[in-house]
Amino acid sequence: MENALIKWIEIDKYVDFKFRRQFILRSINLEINEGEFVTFMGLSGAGKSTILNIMGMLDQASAGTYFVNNVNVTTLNEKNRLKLNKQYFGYIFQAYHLIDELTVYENIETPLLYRNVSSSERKSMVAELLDRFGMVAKKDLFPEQLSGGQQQLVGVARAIITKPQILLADEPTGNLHSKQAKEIMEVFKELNEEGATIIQVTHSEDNARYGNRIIELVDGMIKNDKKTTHYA
Amino acid sequence: MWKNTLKIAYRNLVKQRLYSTINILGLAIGLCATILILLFVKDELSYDKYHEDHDRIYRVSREWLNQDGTSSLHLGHTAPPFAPLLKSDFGEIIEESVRLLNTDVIARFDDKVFPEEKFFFADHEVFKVFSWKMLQGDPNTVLNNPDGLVITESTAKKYFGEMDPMGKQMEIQIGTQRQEMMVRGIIEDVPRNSHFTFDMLASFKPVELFYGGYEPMMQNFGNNAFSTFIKLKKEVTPTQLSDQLPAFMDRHLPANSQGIPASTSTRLHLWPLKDIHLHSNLASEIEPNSNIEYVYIYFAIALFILFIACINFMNLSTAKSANRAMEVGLRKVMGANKGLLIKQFIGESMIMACLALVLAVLFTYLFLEPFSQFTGKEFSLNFVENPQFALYGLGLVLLVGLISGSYPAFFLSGFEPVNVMKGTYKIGSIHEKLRSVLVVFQFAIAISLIACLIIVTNQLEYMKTKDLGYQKDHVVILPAPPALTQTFEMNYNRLIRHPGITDLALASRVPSSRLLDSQGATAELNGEMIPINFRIADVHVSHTFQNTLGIELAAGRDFDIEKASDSLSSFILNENAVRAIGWSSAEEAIQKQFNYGNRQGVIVGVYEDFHFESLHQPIVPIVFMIAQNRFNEVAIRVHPDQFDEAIGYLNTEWLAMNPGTPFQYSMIEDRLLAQYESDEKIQILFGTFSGLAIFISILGLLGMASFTTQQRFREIGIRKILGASVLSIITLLEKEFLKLIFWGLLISLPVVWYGMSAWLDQFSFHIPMSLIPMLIAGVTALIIAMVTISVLSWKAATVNPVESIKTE
Repeated sequence: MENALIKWIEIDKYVDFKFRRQFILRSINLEINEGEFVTFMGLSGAGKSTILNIMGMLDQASAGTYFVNNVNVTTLNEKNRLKLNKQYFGYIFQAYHLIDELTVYENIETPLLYRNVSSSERKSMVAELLDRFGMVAKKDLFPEQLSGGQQQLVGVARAIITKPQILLADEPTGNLHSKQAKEIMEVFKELNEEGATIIQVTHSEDNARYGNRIIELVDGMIKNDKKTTHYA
Repeated sequence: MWKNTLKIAYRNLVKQRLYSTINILGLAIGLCATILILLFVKDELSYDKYHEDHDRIYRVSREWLNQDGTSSLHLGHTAPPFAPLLKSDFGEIIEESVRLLNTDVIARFDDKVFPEEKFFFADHEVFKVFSWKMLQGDPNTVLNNPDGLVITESTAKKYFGEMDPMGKQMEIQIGTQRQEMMVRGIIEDVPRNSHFTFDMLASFKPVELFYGGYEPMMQNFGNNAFSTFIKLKKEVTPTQLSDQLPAFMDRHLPANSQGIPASTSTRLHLWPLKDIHLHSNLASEIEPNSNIEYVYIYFAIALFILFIACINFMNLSTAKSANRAMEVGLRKVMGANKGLLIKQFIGESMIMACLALVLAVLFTYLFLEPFSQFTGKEFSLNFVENPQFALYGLGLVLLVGLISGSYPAFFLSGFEPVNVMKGTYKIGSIHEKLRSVLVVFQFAIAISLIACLIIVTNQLEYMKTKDLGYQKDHVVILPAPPALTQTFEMNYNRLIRHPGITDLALASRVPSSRLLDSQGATAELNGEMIPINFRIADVHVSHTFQNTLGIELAAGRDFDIEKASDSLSSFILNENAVRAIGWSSAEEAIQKQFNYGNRQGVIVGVYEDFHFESLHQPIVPIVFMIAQNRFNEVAIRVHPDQFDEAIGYLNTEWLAMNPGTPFQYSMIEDRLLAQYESDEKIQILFGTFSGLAIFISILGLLGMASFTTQQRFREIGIRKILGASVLSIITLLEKEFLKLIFWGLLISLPVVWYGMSAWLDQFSFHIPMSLIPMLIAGVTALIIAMVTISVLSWKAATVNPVESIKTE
């Protein structure tokens, strides 16, 4: 397993209170390979979201070492971390987190603006995704004019427009009803089959079954790590 | 990228209409006030600088010193010999020198007769020193002929209409003398930003004749009525000249009787031309000048208003930032770095500032006219003629945008995305503290301005109502032409017959004028005649002076028309002179020997002190005496009930006595008010701008309070469910703002105390400084703020609690 895309060695995350140290994550060792579709499961407070935040470099580990494609993230400065971040990751949130003041088109376009993509290229890339998700007619609407499922589709489009190798999704269907949830998960499956590595956090057994690996967390530690087969 | 920023800025603007309006309106008002004031300051600083060689032109002023070296009198005018003497003595330093003599005349052409106040006799070098533009006539020769007259363009229109004035004869009347003069030149109107302007310039030759020729005039060092200007040669420093002036004085003026050289008692000073308008406020000036202090006050107020507006802008932007934390977090997650975000937010604030500028320019055009009238200037904001204005405006906006945008920008861009995503984000306490500090400053400024307004108003009221020691109301002042003075007794009897005229008197100067005349004096003290080593101003009066003006007698008697000696050898002093000389009481001074100038006599009476000059001036020692030929004015006390009849009667009599001379009178009360005009302007200024400051502060407060209530919406709901009353919630919300206003008051206290004490000190008589105006200002601000916040708090407090605790 020399070429693991993500490799964690003895990662801890803790918060210090006055007289004691509260662990959120404890000695996590973990390898994720390219093309995997990993699901983190566990009860509230088990540390699922923290794992995702650290993995996406939104948060930092308290101890341990983290490699992305053999690059040691823990020793990188902020600038290089941001560079790595731009290169590898796309994010999808439970609450969609679209920018209210921007239209669908502009929301999807925003990550490209931060990557200095030329205007004509941006246009064709956004158009392609709008087409793929069947949202061409809605491109000038604002997020509040869309249903939850549509908003999350925009969220997914925004996450994948930069063609990230790793897609991080924190409860992507948590706010959706089952039919919409199914649609989103189908999209994830498709993306995974196209080669994207997907790492999701969910409570839903149904969603987990779309992936090929389930990691179960209890009190900040890995309790179970098993391969599964695809649902469909 | 920029398109994106613009879009977001625009949508934010529209989405949060109230805050955008408050924000932009506040800043626009601040910018408008700043633009107007900067126009004023720019104009004030431009005076006399249009002359080509303005940095080489100096005015010569003359100062007299007491024996102890302190200043006794400093005039902006000098005697006629100085200008030619300076030129001939210092030919290697001075390029040109010129004298100007201002006289009131009556000018006539055909049936057009006007009194002209801006008439000057001038040496022909005047055009070599100054660079006014001659339209017709040769500047080198126009004033060489004794009848040479140069008039300005608008004066030419006034007398000649469409006719060509060149070569036309005008009749100039000075006193009773009439003289024909010929228009030999036409000059452009003197720019308004000059420390003096003229309508007519006449050859200096008639002045020379009046003094009995060149030689006698060159001996006359006593008539200091001439404005003297010199132009130095290039690459000469003024100190090269001023160092030699004491020796120059000793060379031309005799030492006094004790052999003390003239230079110890009288001195010449050089004033750079460009400094006269703002720095020179001597006992005599051609026209009243402005004051650099007022420029500072205006400038400070502009800065304050701009500062308040910027604070608003910053406060509202940071307050709003809480709502945008999520956006910032997202952008960071999507790969925006800090620099990009800072650029975006500063960009947004600059866009807002630009909108404010556009609005401000509109406001400025709206207020340009009233502001011009108020300041007595003509302002224009013409971007075509002055493209640099656009540049200044843009610079100002970029600066304001940068300053106001930078704090929210750095604050916002520092958000950690993970906190935002978790939803645990809360506004930091440092941020809250800074916002509070800004509000405190805002209120400190607003309270200070209100307090200043109250103090200025009180002082003006005090000056207008203070008992001046004589009865200033209903006294008509007319010039005293020879036709009136030469047969005064007869004229007196004729005028006093009218029931509307109570009494009248002649005088060399009447109350409300400056006391500029004085001569040397000796007085009998402890049986010895001692020389008086300070200045005693003199006023020449007729017998009825005391009665006409209602002055109180402190001791002795008034002048008596029955006693012939009173006209030759009697003096009356004021109490101040008695004290200064050293007598222990007014009674003690009576019948003491007193000599003044060449007159020797005794003191027959003492007047109680009264305010001969304005309240800007202290009461000085004065001697009153009867004289025959020194009268300039006649004071007439009229009966208030028969004012119009009396004026009508005076008009008829005046025209009978002085045929062809227009009847123009003034009132002592009006002349006094005119002297307080600049103080009144300061009052209006403080009134307007403290109103503005309060308005902007209230706008800011409104915005801030609405954010606070928004943020505490849930808390209010929970408190209500727990049983809190509406009143207790309003109190809760207001408490923190009241605290801020209180701190604002504390900060303003020392500032106002120090600043206004200095302002009051320029009046010799002023109200005592007290804390009361500041407290009133504080309470005013408090009440206005409370009312503002109450409206919002009431709304928040009366909302159904179920609404507010419902999570999204």
